[in-house]
Amino acid sequence: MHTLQPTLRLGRDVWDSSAMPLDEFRGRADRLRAAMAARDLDALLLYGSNLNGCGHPTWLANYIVKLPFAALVVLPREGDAALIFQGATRGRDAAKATTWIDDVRPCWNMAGECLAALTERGLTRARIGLAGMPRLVPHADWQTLTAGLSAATLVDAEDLVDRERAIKSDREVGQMQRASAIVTQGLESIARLAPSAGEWRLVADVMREARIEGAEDLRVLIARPREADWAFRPVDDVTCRDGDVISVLLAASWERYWSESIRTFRADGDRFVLLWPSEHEARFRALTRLEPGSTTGDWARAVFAAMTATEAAAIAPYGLGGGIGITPEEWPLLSVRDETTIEQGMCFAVRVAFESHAGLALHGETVFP
Amino acid sequence: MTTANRKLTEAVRLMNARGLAGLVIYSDGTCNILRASYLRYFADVAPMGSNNAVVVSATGGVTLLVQPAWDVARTRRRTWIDDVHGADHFDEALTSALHRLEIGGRVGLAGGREMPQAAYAALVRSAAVEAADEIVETIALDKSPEELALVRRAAAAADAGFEAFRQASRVGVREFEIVAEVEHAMRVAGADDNFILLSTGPHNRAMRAPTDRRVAPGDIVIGEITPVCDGQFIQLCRTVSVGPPTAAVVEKYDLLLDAYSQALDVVRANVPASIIASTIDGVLADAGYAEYCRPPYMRTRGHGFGIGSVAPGALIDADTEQPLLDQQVVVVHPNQYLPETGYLACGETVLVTATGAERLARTETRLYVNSV
Repeated sequence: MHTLQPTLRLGRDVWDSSAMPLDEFRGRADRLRAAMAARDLDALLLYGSNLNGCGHPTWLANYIVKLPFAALVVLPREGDAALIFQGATRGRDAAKATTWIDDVRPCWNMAGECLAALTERGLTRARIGLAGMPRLVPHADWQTLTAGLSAATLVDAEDLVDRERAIKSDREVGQMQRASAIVTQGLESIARLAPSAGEWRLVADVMREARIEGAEDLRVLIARPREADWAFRPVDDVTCRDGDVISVLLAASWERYWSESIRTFRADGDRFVLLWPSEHEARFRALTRLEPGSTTGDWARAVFAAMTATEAAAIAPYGLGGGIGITPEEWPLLSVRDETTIEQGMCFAVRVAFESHAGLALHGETVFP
Repeated sequence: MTTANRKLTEAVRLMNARGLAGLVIYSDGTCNILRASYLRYFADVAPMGSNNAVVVSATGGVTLLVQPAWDVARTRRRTWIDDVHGADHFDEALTSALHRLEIGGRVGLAGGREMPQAAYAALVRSAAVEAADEIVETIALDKSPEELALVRRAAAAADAGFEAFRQASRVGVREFEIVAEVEHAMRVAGADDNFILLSTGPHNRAMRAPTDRRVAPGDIVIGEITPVCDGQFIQLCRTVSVGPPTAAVVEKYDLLLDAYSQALDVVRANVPASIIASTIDGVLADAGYAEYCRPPYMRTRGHGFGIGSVAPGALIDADTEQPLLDQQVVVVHPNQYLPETGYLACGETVLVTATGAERLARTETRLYVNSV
């Protein structure tokens, strides 16, 4: 879900090569190259930018941006790949230590460096697939690129990368389950906090809990679903009075991989009480069963049909969720307007609203069909 | 005149001086320590989505487009702009806003460096676009009392962050646990975002993101402690010795303190910003380290901070020609790798005044020592 992006990915920065060996990434390159051959693509450009949008190059190269900058992988169907990223040259060694790509290029002129890498590989007249481009590319860079590639054929190929990213390997699922454990622990810590300290302190404490568990990056949103005109929002410096109901969305990443959950609590004297009766749990499990073979649209229509009008109206502005993995939001979207066939290995962040006699509660989890 | 009205009045005046029919202030929703956040500064709100813009007409009409649409209510509460629209279909919303405000002809674009091709293409279909970053930069040079209050709040958060940094820099604590404690302390003190880099070890090479490494006896722990309050950054660069420091560390840290102190002595409004770099480099060169006054042994001797302008720049070196201005917020940090000690962190953020540099944080710049 949309959240404020931090200025720096400041948590634990570790790549455990036993959990995610370089062979995993080489395998991804092999699969992409096979898909490129099927579409007669000579090269593929995988572009990403910012902390939430750098998934394509991170997924392939294992390079992660810390500041909101851009990265790009040039993947020829034959020959050596190149990793290009915005940053000073002193970042080259750290990048080389994490990627299988030998040609690593820190720079401040992404378009110029991309053209140089393509020229060196004799690909300026080639048929080139694009992922994240021009969608995320600053217009000046795009104009430089298209001018330099006027003899090339540029083809949208983002679907090819999206699909490969969506089907998680066992290793990826393992990393996401570790992220889920951090999220669960962070949300469970709320039950130990004092409502009188207010929202600001609550979020500070939850983030500390998640960081201590090894969170690489975090996102938090707050909602008060039983107040008039409520909406998810960043934390505010407001008090929690006795009886207040507060929903907390926490997303955390562990060694690149994300998980997201939402829990709803009521301030009850000197503690928060989780609002999640057993009948909600059973209903949530039934609703969020994502069966391989069905489509995202079928699933979304069924969930909306099973919710009351109040529940559906509460969650509709935010959507029911979507893919999650190396970025907090990925293809495909769980939407009535999406008809992607759900496949084994896809992972989703799912959110719903449940109504009881006491009012609304919001709930979300990362699920592994 | 309120701060908000001053921004709008100034924007219209500067637009008219350039003959612009409109001004688009764009944001991709990110916050970058090295760049100004023009939209956040102008509208007084940080957007969450990937495409957002303020549109101003030469007659003073103004509208704010934000993503996601469900964030409109929060945005309305925070901004002084009355006309706020959800813009999940941004390109269409931008075109509609230009039409609604009757903007045609020449349009200035601030923050265009971040604008992706699709949004830019929509804009150029409606107007003749030209870069106009300097309109916001010019307005932002004059810091308001509200901005200075945020700067001081951030300074207090930095003090809290350093105290947590010092306390956590103990044997057995892992690097990422230090960051967790520093971030927590600064959030509790009011910071809504944080930029923290550190390194631990007997001979550090540079500051970076935290790893699993546990602090060991004899380590030097260096950190850049940078809280953010509503877009205003403050930075402290600090060094803690875990156990008694070696004679070399004491001697070389004194050298950096001397460089820092001499640099502060020359900071005042209307002197060239380069004087910070030349003063620090001069002290180090006199001590025989001229060859270390360049990357990768250091990054920069300082930089500006602010929401709407980071003047005199994101990197102050001996070639930075811009003058320091009254009420500018500037970091002065002779952070330096030296062969005898490794990287040492030393410096902090000051407010430039007509008569000198006002230190913003309370914690003393010195070598801190924790017992083992």
